[in-house]
Amino acid sequence: MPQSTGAERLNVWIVHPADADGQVLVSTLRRAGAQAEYVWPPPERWPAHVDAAYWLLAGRPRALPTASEETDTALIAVLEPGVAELQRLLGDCSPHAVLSKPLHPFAILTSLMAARSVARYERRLKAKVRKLEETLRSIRQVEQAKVILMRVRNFGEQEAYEFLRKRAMDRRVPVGSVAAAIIEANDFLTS
Amino acid sequence: METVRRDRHSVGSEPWRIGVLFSRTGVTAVIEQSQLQGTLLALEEVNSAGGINGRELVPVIYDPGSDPTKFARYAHKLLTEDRVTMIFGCYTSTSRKAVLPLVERWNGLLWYPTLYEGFEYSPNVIYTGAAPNQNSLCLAEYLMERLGDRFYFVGSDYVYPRESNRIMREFISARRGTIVGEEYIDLRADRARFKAVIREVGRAQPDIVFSTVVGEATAHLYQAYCEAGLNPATMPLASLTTTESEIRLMGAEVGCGHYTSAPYFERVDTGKNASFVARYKKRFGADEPTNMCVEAAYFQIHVFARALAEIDVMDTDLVRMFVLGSEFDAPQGVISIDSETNHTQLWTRIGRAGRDGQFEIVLETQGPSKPDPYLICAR
Repeated sequence: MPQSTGAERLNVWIVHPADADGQVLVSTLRRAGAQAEYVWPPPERWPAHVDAAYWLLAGRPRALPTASEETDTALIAVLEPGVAELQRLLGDCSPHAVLSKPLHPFAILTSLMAARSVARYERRLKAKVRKLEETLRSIRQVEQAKVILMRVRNFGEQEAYEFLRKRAMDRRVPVGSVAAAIIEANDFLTS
Repeated sequence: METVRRDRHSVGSEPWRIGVLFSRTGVTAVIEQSQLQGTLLALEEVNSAGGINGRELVPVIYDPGSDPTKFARYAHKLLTEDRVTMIFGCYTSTSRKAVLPLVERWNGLLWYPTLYEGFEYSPNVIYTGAAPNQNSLCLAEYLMERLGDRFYFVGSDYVYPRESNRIMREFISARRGTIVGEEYIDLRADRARFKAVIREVGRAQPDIVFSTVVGEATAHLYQAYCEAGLNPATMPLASLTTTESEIRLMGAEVGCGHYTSAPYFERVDTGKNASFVARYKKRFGADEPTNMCVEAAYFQIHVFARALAEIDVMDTDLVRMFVLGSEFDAPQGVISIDSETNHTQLWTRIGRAGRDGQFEIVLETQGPSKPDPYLICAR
């Protein structure tokens, strides 16, 4: 391919039988510089450390991939005509891109590019959500720790905040973890 | 679709390209022009030292004319047509919020060298200006200890002043102070509007007038205050945004006696500042002042350049990884980029403007303080 596809050195699973179609998938991806390997029958668990997976969606529920929070594998659903309940299948596995048979090398690579772009954006959004959730938790924990400090050490509100900030700075940890430690210690001491 | 960057690695002496978005025209050009200059000075320093691994660092510069929709349009152009991933720019929160979804979608990195209202996080922004816990809190305490506890809020009418005032109100109330008035004024309002506001302020007799007026309008506010004959010794204006540049615009005698809280003033006495100020004035003119926004725009280029020199590839995720947690000896003192928040550990100072248009530093922290944009640990 004269155009760059971003497939170089990618780790790709071909969750598809090693038949004629499987051959087209593997050879197209290897020609584009990716490391493609068959994984058939479909694995029980969602892949880790795999950049992309082409997954043949058959009718049987066991074969359905479900995206897990921990991995960023780009999922390309491979579809054959005649698959039952296609809409529900696609809705359930929420692929980043689809590839319909008959297979074409051009479509194989474009679906990979699209899927990776979408998967990366999704990963960034999830990371931002996780960070914001952590921030909300910290706010709650710091409030609780502040109340404990004011009661147990007779601090004023400002003093309590200053105490927490200083501990966090000295130990180079987030203020939320200092607060969590104080809450836990207090639980032990008062239970 | 995210653009695939094929030209990222060192290819001979092809230049590295970055985006720059500061207004040279429009209502906030008075301060953004200075941020552009700080950016250019840093770029020239990087390039005259040999560039980054032998390659020149070249800015792609657009003037959004103080218009947030133009900020969005040019950011889009930079990310998708000009194929840059790093954007150094924005002053108003409105402009930053316009650019934010674009850098998130295309995995760019916005380097934002301006104080703001906090309560924000993005993996695609590095915030090098002050968060409220790094300027507002200190200013509220300082003023209340010395002048009294009655505040009048005057601000420009957009998200930053309103949110900033919400936070300031919380700080003041926690210390038993009161807000005796609150007024928001269009960014493009004329002198007459400010005269009317100052009349109201005079009637309310607060101890402190907390100003979040930005841009050219700053001059109108302070001039109206001056013309009304109010006294900075007993009812000063106190701001987070009035810098040496706004003071120059309004006139030194008009700015005299009023307070600003900032990480940096031109008069700051650190190892690096004297030579920084000298180089800036040599490049842009003897009567061009430095200010906190210039200084942030300046050091953020150097922080980036150092990261790029190490990794030698214009990759957002790698740049971010290298930049977070890194330290730099900036004109304000040593700063570091905080990996929890993508904000910056900054120094806190309070200055009082003098007759010469420069700030006398009346309070200074012993070291930089951690940013707490969500006020997890501050009240």
